[in-house]
Amino acid sequence: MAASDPAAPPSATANAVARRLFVAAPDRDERTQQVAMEMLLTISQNQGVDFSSQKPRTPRRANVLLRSLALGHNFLAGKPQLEALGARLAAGEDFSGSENLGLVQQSLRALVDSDTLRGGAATHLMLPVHDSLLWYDVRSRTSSTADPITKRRVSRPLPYRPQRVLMRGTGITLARLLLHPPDYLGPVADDARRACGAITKALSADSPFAKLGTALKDPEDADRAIMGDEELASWDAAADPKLKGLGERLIRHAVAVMEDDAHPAQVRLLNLRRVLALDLAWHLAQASWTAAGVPESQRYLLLCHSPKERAVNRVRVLSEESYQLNHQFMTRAVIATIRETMEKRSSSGAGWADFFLERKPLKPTPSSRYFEELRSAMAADPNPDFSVYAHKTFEAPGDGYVRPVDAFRVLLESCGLLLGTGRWRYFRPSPGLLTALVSARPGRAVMDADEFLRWLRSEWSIVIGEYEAAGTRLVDRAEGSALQHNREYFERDLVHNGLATALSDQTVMVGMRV
Amino acid sequence: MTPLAHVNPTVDALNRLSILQAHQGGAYREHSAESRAVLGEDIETAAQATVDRWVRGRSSGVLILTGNAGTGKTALAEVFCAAAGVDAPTVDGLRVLADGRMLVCKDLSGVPEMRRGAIVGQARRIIDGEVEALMLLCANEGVLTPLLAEGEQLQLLVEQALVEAVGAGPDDKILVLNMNRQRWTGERIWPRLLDYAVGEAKWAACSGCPVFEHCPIRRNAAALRRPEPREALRHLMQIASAETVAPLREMLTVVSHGVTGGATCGSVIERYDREGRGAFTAAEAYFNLLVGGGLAAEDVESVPVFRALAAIGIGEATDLQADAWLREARSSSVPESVASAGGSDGDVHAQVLVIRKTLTFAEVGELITVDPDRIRVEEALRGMLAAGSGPGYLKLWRRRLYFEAHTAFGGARSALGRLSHYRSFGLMLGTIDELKSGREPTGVRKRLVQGLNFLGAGMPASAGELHLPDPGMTAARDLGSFLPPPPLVVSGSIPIDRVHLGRERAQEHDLLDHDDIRIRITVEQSAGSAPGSMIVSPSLFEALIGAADYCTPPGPDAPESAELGQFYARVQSTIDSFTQIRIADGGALKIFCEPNMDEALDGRF
Repeated sequence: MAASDPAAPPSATANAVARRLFVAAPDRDERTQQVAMEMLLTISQNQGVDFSSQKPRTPRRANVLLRSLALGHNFLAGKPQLEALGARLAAGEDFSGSENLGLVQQSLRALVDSDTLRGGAATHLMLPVHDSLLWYDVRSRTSSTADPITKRRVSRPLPYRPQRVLMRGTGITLARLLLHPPDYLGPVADDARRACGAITKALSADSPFAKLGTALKDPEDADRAIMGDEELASWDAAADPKLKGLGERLIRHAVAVMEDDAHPAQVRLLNLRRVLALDLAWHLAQASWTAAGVPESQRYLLLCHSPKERAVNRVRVLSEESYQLNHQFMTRAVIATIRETMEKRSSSGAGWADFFLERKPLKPTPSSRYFEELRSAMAADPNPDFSVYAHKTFEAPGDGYVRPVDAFRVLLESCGLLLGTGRWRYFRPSPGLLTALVSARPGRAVMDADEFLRWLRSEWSIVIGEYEAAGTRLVDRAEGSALQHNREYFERDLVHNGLATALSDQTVMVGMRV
Repeated sequence: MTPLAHVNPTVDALNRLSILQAHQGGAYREHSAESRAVLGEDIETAAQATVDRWVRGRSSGVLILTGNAGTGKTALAEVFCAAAGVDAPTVDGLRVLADGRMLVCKDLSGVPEMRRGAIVGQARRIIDGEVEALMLLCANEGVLTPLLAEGEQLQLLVEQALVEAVGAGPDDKILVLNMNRQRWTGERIWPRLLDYAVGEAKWAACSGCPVFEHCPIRRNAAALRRPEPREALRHLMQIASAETVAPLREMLTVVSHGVTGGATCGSVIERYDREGRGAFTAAEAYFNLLVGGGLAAEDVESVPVFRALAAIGIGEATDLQADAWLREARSSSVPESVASAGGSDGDVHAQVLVIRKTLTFAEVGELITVDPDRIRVEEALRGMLAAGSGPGYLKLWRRRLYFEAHTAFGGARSALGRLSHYRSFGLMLGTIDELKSGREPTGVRKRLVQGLNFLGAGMPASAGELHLPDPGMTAARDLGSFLPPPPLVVSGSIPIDRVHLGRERAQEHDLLDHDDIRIRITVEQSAGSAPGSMIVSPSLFEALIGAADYCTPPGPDAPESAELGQFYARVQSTIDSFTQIRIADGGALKIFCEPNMDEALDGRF
């Protein structure tokens, strides 16, 4: 998230549009795992920082020693003094009096987050169950120099450095909401402090990994450098009151989840990760609904718990439709934002230079040519129809404007709410997400299922049974009995996962364990 | 056409008891007088005696009955009123009787929300001694709990009843009975439940019926009067009752469907007239109907007890001997009970429809073994696995063996283990028997600990201690994966002599009918801390024994995963964790020694 000059005329680059619309605008590369890791790192690195007098610290912790051991890859390559140590760690070979390092390495593999195993080892992450297992994305580069004798160019690896790869600053914005709540979150600032305290306590809970983390501490990580410009822009973005709904939810859910003593600290951290992703996805949906003027009757996510085959499962089909609709609402919202930006730019009289691209590429690309043609057409059009131009902008090659729309899908998939592929995607929470939702309920109170369902509706616009569907278009599209059965299956899933107790006369008490 | 002169009213009464029938008035106490007139008085239960004794033994107090619909609360309200000498109310609100000395609320859910608090307030006044009266309050916990203050005596007793079945205050002035914990499979009450539906006298009206010999309904009732099928069904119901709440209404629905299959005297006679002796097959036999045969999938799904019975999978497990007996049913080498199950002429329960003909199990077994016509054999073999929408005859054969020939397997427990998905239920019942006699079976305890160690810590071979995996590892572990887990970090271990097996209920009493069908595993922890415990249902027992014996996972979304996770969390919260890093490596724990990093960073390895 680059810093922008508020006095500059508004531009419609893909990033600027996403920021204008969502403020906290994750990229489609940022999955739940990356957002949570960046947020937890930011919280961990900023323990004890007084933000009234100190600048926030960067989350860029490389943790290369433990990382080499856990991922079996030498992240110390390129560091002359340490390369051999990295090789030993990566191979799991004992050294300097250690015993069973190989076994520890195998054991750590159980904690590698399988959802991050795409791409190279530099972006693989651990499950964030302890502070010692947190690290930022790294990237290695090579330096190419000419051999003085043969004159041929030789490349050699440069050390790995923490760098933005899949973590793009959204986690920093979320961390800021908890660490240093903006003024508009004043009434819940104490809760934010509680949440941060509980997160820090859980991250530093007594654990075998604490000992391992201490033993293999990366000396370079001891220096808690301050944030760079891009990171500060993400930090400052949290000051936008458009994030009020997200901030309030994040804070109350973080407090509830992190103080839920029904789960050990490690599970609380995983629950926090799922809930914050759902909060963020809800924020994207909410912002889109507002920007696209979606009627109240269409603002919902229908969860399907019925296990029936799709051919006879009406709720499943409606859940797919609910996802598809939200996808379309986001597209409409992005287009509406582009149009609005065009109107502002037009009325500012600043012309259309640099309107679509922050900088001109060295070589023309299909998208740069497309934008140049579009810009020329707009400049030559005495009465431009910005709706038409906004649609054309959205359809530009490179899919830049689709990225925040895809981010919604990616977040929902990676937090365990969205299943299926293509047109058949539908909402159904994983057992892990169900656990997190129950853990996030207010005051850890035992709630009957009616109340819990109402609460899910108000917190995340989630619809499951027929009562929550009241006032939505589902009333005309689903038989009440289908939604009633859906609710019964949902309750059964809760009971089966030990999250609720079924009492008399079909009453299910959520959060009660007998 | 045969005249419909022989209509046994018992058949209609049973059908009315079923909540699956369109007309199900008999399944609801308020409308069951007609059924009761045919089937007789209520089954005598311990709860009835408890209520009667409680009312007669005091002049003031509060009796609370909680439980699912159909657990018998209304019937107990009638007992309460009869003992108190007042008429039972017919409406849901609070009724003040006998000049204010009796208060009866037969369903708090039926009272408008704004008036419920006042009714609970009335109960409090009696408890506090402000008012002298006897009060009966039938309430759904979901409705009652929000009306109680955290920590007040009433709330604590309701909560105790949720866990222990009964919550009793001093001198039983407050008595809370959780009817969901009333079990109908106990040795004393089980025969009464079946006799309520199949008692011989109720079927005397069938004599003289033109289809007497061929009527599947009469034969089903007769079969359920025999000890072998009763014992076999009891075990299935025990599992179902342990896996779900099994109210009387659903138990009677199962039995009713098991006898009639939804048919009536008229429909049986009409079908016999139309189709003759081949009209009825084993698909209409009780051993198929009792596990959901003849029902649409939605109907099975809508009745939790049926769902649980279907999930047992009786007849779905392959057993080489049982399957071979189908081919050899006419051989003199098979046990007598198996030969009998093979069927003889006129045995409706042994008939299956194969190659458009009705054959007995024994005949079809012979056909597939010796018939020279390859096409006939192939067609018969197809019918073995599937017959239209119903089960193939192989499954029916196994079901019949389970119910009628389990002596050939060494008893119903053993047959259940071989012919269903619950292979270890016999072992579980044997364990419970030992626990009842005061002994703790150490062999089973060892296997359960071994199972826990495999599922929790990935250590299949270890049974000397219960190893508690690091909670992070537990959270990351995929219990459903068949891949061997990596070596896991263990945060603590508890010697096996501090792990105990016990009966499900901590308190023993005879206030409700009970049957021990679950086991409690208790872990003693360091001095001063409360023990952690876990209730082991038959499915969890199955998962643990399977894990110990074969290293099998229970499945990723199985309830067992959640139960185990919570058990470890309860135990772990109070143990002293290891100070060193210990890792499960096969059957042993290995200690990790840290390297000297100062040396290593200086390049000295």
